[in-house]
Amino acid sequence: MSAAKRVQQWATFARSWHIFDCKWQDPYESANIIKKYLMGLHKPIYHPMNDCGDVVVCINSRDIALRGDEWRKRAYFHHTGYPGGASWTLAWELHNKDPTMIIKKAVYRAMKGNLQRRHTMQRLFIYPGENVPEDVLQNVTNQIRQIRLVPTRLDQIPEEVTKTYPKVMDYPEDYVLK
Amino acid sequence: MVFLTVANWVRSRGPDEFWRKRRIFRLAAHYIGRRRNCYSVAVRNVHRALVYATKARKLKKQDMIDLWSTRITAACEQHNITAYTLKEGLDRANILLDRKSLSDLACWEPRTFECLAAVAKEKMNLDGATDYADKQHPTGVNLKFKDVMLEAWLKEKKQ
Amino acid sequence: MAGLVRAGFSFAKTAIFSTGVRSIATSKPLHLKEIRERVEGSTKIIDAVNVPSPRTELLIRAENLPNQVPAASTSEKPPCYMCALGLDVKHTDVLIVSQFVRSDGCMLPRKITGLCRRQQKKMGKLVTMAQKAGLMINLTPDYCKKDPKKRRDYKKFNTYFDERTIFMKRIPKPVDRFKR
Repeated sequence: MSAAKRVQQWATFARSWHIFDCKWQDPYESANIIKKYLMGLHKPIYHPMNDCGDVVVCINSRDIALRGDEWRKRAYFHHTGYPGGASWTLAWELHNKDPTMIIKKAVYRAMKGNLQRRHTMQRLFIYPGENVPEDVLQNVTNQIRQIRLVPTRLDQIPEEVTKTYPKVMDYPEDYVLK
Repeated sequence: MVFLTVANWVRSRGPDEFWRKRRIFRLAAHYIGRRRNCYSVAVRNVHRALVYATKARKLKKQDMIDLWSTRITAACEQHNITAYTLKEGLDRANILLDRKSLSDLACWEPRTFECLAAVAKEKMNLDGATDYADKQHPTGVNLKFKDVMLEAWLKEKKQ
Repeated sequence: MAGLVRAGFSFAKTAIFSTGVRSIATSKPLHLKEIRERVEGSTKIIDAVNVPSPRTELLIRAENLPNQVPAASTSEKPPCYMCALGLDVKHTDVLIVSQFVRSDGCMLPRKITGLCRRQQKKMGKLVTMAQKAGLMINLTPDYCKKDPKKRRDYKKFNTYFDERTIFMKRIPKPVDRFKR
């Protein structure tokens, strides 16, 4: 193999590191995206038997957003194996205990259950905040696009913008301003 | 030329017990333990294996199709179009490539695939059938479509 | 007897102390009014002042837009202004949603907003969604926990809403748009 070809081979099969900001993202929707990068499904050289998956670093997992009333409706099941050992934890309780667990479980469940799954999960790093260790951060070369826009709070928009923003509704004439 | 197996097959059709069993044992030769040595166990496993083989002939093709689709989807995503746009655009541009050749191109000739993606997108734009799932323009917009889009070029010349 | 006494007492109480709210108006209330309180010496003066609406100049109506489509059928009732605009309002568009609320974050009634029934219901739900997601925390009553992070239990985590749930009973499963 010539020298140029050898470099091409390295470049093709090298692992690249992606970063994903979970702020205001639905973990179950973003799990499908993260899974794609972890398994290498985003590469045209994909094959289930070749090890072409990448590494994904998830940050801000504390700020994930769940849809509607899922924080109190979604339950996580665990069984210790002993009689009466079943327990159900609601999503918000689990998030209180470990802010990385929901996204981890979502990605784990998004993947097909085979022998490769646990090894693929090793390539997923989740951090609850923005504090990522330096040796992890220096490898990152790509950012994964977020699915949902991060909403802006009304009090974060400056006063002039709120006042000069085009209005849809006008008050009737006999309305008493409050 | 010596026909080792076929001659045995012909002989094993007969009423002779030895040759009838031998046919099954030959098929179970690579099994382990009683599955290869006891006839009553071997014949069950051989029959099951043959059923698997029959089903797998279809599954193998389906697996390959799934793999090609995955690769094409991945490659399309790099060029910001959907696999649907690529297929529809190429069909309309009369570029009749199947999934196997498209995935081969995506894997081994990424530049060719990039041009194909750009052509498909341009064709869809010419037809006015924009796919709103596509995020941005495809990469490779610097191509000269006049050399490729014969139909569009003809239209321009006529006017 | 006791009931009669209580009724008479409450009547006297309202007659004496009812300075706050009076439903009788001596003049026809016209124009946008603002209630102002000022204290002069020992007397507190409350008066309603007519003010021009701050929104009139910024108002957007479908009939004033340059490329508006004329209404197809004139026989039917004209659509309300939100229907005519045809905006796809999300609950995260707080700049639009906040126009339909009072200063304490309550949805205005239909008499004031002038919307059709469907739009009124939709905007009301959008206001609820925006409030639950903690996007309009400066438009809340005083006793509210302003910072969403300081709310209790499940309320302190980020929540988003799907606008399709307003009118749809069941949301269809999301399809993989790369597959078709």
